[in-house]
Amino acid sequence: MTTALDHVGKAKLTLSWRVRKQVMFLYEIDSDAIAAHVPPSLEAMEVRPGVSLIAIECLHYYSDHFREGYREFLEMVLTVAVQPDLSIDMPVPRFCMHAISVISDSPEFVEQEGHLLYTPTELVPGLRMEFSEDGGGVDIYDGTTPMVMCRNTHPNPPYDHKVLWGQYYTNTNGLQQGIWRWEGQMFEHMKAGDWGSFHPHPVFKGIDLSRIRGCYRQMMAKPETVTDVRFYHLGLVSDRAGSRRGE
Amino acid sequence: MKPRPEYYDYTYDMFIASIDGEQSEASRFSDWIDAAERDGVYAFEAPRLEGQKTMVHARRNDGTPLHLLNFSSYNYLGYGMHREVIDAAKAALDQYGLGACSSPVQAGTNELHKALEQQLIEFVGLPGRGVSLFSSGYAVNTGTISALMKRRHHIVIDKSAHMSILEGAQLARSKVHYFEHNDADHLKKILEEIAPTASRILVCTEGVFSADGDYGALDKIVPLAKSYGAQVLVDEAHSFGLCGKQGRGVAEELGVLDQVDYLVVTFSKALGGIGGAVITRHEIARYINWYARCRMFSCALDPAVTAGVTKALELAGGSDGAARRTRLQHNAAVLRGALEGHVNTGRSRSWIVPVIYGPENLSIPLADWLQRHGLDGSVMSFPAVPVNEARIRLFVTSEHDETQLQQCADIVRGAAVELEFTITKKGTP
Ligand SMILES: Cc1ncc(COP(=O)(O)O)c(C=O)c1O
Repeated sequence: MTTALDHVGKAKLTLSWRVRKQVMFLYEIDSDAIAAHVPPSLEAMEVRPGVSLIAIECLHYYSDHFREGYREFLEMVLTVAVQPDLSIDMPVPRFCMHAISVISDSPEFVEQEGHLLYTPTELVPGLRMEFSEDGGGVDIYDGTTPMVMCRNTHPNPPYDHKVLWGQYYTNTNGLQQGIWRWEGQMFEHMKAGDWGSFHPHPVFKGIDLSRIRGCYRQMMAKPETVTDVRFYHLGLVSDRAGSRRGE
Repeated sequence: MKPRPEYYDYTYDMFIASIDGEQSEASRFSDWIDAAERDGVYAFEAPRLEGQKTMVHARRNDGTPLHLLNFSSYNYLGYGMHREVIDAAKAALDQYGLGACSSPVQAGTNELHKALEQQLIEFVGLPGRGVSLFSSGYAVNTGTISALMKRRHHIVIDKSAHMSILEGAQLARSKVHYFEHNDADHLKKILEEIAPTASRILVCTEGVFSADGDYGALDKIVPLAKSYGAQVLVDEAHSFGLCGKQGRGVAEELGVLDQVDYLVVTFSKALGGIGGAVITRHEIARYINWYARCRMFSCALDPAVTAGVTKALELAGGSDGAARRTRLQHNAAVLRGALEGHVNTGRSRSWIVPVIYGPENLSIPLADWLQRHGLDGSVMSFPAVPVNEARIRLFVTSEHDETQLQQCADIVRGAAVELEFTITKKGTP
């Protein structure tokens, strides 16, 4: 495990987490159904003409994060895939996501992430996740109300060690951008099958869920291993654009 | 184990776009190729020194001479190298010169084009239909679909369909729907939803799908689409001239040829040339001739190629073609037989035989390994195929002999052992 990664190019490490369970499902959605959630200076990536991608990412964090004895906690992230910025000095990003909505059951986490990465993170004390035994799927609830059922459609995920790089945008304090690095045992696939369901909830910010056309890609981390997730916040996009122009 | 270079993990989709103003996607993509070239593992774009025979001389970009078993050309019936075909092309070259040098609706049409149109109608056995010729198979789809379909119309496309169909739909700016590959039930659901209010619906699918080598379920999809009042476009790029009793394609083999509204064929595969055509109702073909923008505003099909493919079509329609088709089917079965049980050949039932090795990060070293071991087979990765289902795509031709088929299988099986993708390995998709 690389633990000395305190910077990438000029970007300094902002936050790092140890994750116990994690899945990320990407879904196809009609581009016009997601357009309102993409800031004007960004553009949603299309996998086919007229079809963009949103993602649901679920993370179950290890204990002791904020202080010794701090409980394990959960996060669910809703993002849309957008164009990356390949001028950033970093390994080529696997993909770039813009955060639409983030929820967690940990007030400390909501405060920390919102403060440092400018994510639109909100507290949902009743957030519950039931991960499947193979780690490939998860049922997400707010109390007893179902939100998303993410069903793994691969019968036997062959996990493998991987390092992934990506980028993110947030838009609660101007359009901000940053880098993420992910290291752990993972598997991804696009097998067809019963991938689950979405249920109305404020976390979806009014997105018309009936416009979701199916599951595009499923990514999963091997449960009960240590996944290392790091964020390197870069700041406002406009500042970087200015510095590129030599301003 | 030696650590893998980071760039092995890169995939094509990672360079599709960048929001910065400096085209960083191009410089990063170029860096990717440079890195592979520096490490001596870049096997793509190796220039060939001769035509698409079953063994070809080529040259690696570093200058290394190569003599390769050719399983990466879709010269399926060998007509691209056929003496009579080449002679016909040469004669046309002498008579008509190098290019048509004008749009087909202006001065670009010549007698050769008319003869090819006639020959196509006879070959497919659909008298009374019309033909619109294009300079590439790709342009047939972009031109035809965008000429006929507009904003308020609906286009319903098999999810595995070729990029030229998707791009045609994009140009048309119609409402686009995608049905799961070959899934008639899903198509039905979509049609049920849109048919009551749609003024025009076009369903698009293919004869043989080029990444998996499976057949389109045309016997289900075509009648279903028609029952909802939709029109159907079938792209027989990889099946025209290759299957069906008379070699007309999968629509013929599955008994629905006369129900297909737009039969799309290409000349770059079974006929060994370049160009394509849509065969449709006479008045619609005439309309496409004038309203397919990439046809109207582009030069007509090259005269030498036109004469060559006409000769190839003539041969394909006779006993020569029948014999080649029989050999093609036989060869494909031999290769599949030699691979099955060792590697994953997916759902292929045709002359396109995929070998699914899985992880994308094997693509660069595998392409290099195959080339260094004397096999030219094209490697396909995400996003052209689903993630973790990267594959070697082997094109079988009627011209391969048994020894070559066996050698090909041996090399692939050797690669599977070396790079660990034999099907006994846990987790192979
Ligand atoms: C299904 C399909 N349609 C169209 C084309 C484009 O044909 P061409 O290469 O002749 O332009 C291809 C190319 O391989 C194809 O596979």
